[in-house]
Amino acid sequence: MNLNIERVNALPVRTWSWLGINDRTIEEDIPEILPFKKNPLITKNINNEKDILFAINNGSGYKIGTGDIVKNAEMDSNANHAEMNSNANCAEMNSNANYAEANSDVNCTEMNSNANHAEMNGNVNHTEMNSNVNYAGKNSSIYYPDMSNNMKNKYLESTIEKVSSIPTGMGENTANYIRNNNNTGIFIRIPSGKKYKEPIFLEYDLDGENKTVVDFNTIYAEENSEVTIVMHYKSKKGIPTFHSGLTYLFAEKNAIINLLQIQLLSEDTLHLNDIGAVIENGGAINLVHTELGGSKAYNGCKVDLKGSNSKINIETIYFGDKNRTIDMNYIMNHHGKNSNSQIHVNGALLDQSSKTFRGTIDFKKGAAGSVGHEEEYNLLFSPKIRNLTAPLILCEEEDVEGKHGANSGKIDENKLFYMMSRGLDELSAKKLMIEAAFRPAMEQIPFADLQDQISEYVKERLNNIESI
Amino acid sequence: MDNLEKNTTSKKTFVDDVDRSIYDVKDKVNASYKSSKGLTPEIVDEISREKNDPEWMREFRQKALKLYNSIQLPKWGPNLDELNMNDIVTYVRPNTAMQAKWEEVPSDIKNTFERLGIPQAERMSLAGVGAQYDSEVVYHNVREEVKNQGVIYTDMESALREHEDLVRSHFMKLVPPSDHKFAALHGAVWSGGSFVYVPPGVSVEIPLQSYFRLNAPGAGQFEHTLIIVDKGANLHFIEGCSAPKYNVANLHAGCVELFVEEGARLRYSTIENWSKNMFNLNTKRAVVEKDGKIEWVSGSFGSHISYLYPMSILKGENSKMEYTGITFAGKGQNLDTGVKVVHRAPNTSSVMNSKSISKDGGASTFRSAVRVAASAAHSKSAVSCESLMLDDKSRSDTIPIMDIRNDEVDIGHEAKIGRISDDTIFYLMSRGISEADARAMIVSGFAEPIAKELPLEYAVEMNNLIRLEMEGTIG
Repeated sequence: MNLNIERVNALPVRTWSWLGINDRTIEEDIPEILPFKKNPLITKNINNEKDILFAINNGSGYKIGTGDIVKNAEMDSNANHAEMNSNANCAEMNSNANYAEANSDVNCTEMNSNANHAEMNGNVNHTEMNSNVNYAGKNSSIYYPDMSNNMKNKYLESTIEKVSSIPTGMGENTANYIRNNNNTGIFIRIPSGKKYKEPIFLEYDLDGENKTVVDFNTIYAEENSEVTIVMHYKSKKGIPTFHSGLTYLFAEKNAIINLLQIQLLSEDTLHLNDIGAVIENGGAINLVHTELGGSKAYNGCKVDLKGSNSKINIETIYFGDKNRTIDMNYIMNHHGKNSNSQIHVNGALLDQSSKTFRGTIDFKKGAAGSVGHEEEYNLLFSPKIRNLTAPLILCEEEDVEGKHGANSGKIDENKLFYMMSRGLDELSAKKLMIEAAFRPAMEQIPFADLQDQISEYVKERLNNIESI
Repeated sequence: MDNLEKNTTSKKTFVDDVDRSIYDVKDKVNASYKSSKGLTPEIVDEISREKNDPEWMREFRQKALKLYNSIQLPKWGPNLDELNMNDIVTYVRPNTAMQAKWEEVPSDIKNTFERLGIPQAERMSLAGVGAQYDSEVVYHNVREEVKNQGVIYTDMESALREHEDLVRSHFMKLVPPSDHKFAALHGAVWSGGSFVYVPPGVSVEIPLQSYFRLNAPGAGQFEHTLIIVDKGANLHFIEGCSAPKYNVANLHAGCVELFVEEGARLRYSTIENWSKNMFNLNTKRAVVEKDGKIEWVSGSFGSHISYLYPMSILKGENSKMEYTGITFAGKGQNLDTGVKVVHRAPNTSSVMNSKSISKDGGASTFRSAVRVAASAAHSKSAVSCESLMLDDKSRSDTIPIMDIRNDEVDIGHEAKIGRISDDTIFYLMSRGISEADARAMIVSGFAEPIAKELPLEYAVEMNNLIRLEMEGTIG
């Protein structure tokens, strides 16, 4: 199958085209998108949490449930849209409901929207979405177990409708592609005040049976709630596979979302990962990206720091060798006062690999007191690599602090000399330096298991390297 | 303390700039041209004939014209919609009345000359409205001095006649007309400008200053500057000056080509302060051979819209470039400036320092490109850019790109954006300095790294200019 997406990872402000950094066109041969038959949820004890609205997408729609229901959900590959549509058909509901009225007391009929399922999955019109959606989630005390499944469905749909208008880092074309072709994904809505301490683990394992994962995810944290989600992507070597994922994040007032996307795909997997996020007053998102694998890895993340004192922290590592391509686009839009963005990128490039990093801190008018910091360290190990970096600061507000730092080059000769004086040969010393570059992100991963898996993956990759 | 803070912030009101609207200069329109819109081969031939071009130059102009008509306007950078490309015909036709009178120069520009303390004669020459006589004298003095060293310093038209081979082998070789629309336009209609050749080993002690050459009406419009600094030679060239230059037309599409030969050094300084209705779309490029060095000093204060990015090609081993630039964007200005460097040989180095200031609704953009080719092992590059926002009506963007294709490199980049801290203002005010003066002092301090790269009289003038620009920002 042919995949063709234009204007991917576009810089928010164009510059000279001869630099080849303004945007990308993805043109690749990919396996046919078939249903993903595995249940990605591997968290064992999620059934202890009854009040979380949790749903899993089996390729034809969402199966709602808490804990064990989702866990044991049959990944029904034969379910078709028509069925889902009738389930989620809003026509039977009151179509004139006014969302504003629904604010205090959420009930099924008032939750209704004009959207029907086909539209949700299909050609979503952004502007329409924006204007129609006035969502009822805020300030409401919702206890999900009390809801009927039908109502949960409405709730789920309207949440998705709300987040679907959020712009993403890879851009509209990519987001539309993933929304239209998704075959798996999760939906999580954490009720206000709920600090969900147990991390939710998802694993997408690509193999000969399941060659494609197109995951469409929504993570919505209501006021004062907290959640940690781990998405782990891996694939078998030697089989051409395809992953593309889109994740919407919405952190309401003082909510915290921790998202760890661990990408350890083989060199036979094309990888697209897109994020669109909104953070309201005092909310925070902590993001860890380990972009270590994939034949080509495209990664976009756009964050609207909408509320005052909103915060985003991003810790990214990448590892390019052979002919790998890594292409990233992070855009931080500071709207709220005293908003804060921190981006750290560390990585290594070997052989003929190439990396493009675009990082934009955009201080919009009114974002007084905001701070945006971005740091990038690139270790370069071959005269054939290509390292493209675009650290943008856009600013229309006087009272802000924006800082960018980027450093690229060979590893420090003194450090190398020191390690060799301790008995390491040059190759081992260099490998150790690469591992060391990944430490900052590893430290952000509070799960020993996962750390081990990443270390192992990196070690295996390094073991195959005979000279640097 | 609270009270004090209140006092300082309540004082901060905005007073508009001196009115800088430019009077209309009515060109006499020759009826015979009225029907033709845009630039035609006939007009270009006419320019060529008028200038007594050799045949190859006429052909060159025609080729450039074809490119001009086929290349689109840039799709990035400040909006150029206000630029009426059809008007260009009226700027370039040799028989169009281009003369403007000193009396027609807007009073704010005249005032600036006054306040900068520039003598009457020079003022007129700086404004680009005649005054050949006085500036010719100065020019002759300079020429005699450098001539004795074997240096050729002349206008481009004379160079084309007297040093045809040298011009032909260099002219628009570095900036080909295919580069962009305005380079093509330049290639088709260029006129005026300076030609400098410094023989091997010669060190020119006094800086050559090109504003002495802007003695023909409209000559600063599409001028071509070609400088060849031969092996081991040394030159400091100063382009323009710190007083606003008023031109009858509002488009400037000049071209600067600098050839720095083995072991040579060239410093190219520009303090540009075009009148504030100007579209400054200038192209500057240098190629540096082994052990050579190019130093750019660039101050952008004037113009309505600027696209200005001096480019250096470090072609020879161990060649170097240094860029020091400042951009000050005030009301109604959108100044997109920056720097480009291509490292093509081993052991090359580039150091770029940029400062930009935005105030009163002005927009400044720093745009840079650093490319290190696979052939440029052991190269070093450092980019540092700092931006200062003086209010929240203005805009400041930083768009630096690095494209590295070699591992044996040391590439650093730093960017910062911020405001004048209240603490600093408060400190200075507690020492008896008024808020306006304190702000001006801080901005001057911010610009200091640029000022110290300039010859004394220019540094003084730049500081005066900053003071003038800062006037009226606080009530």
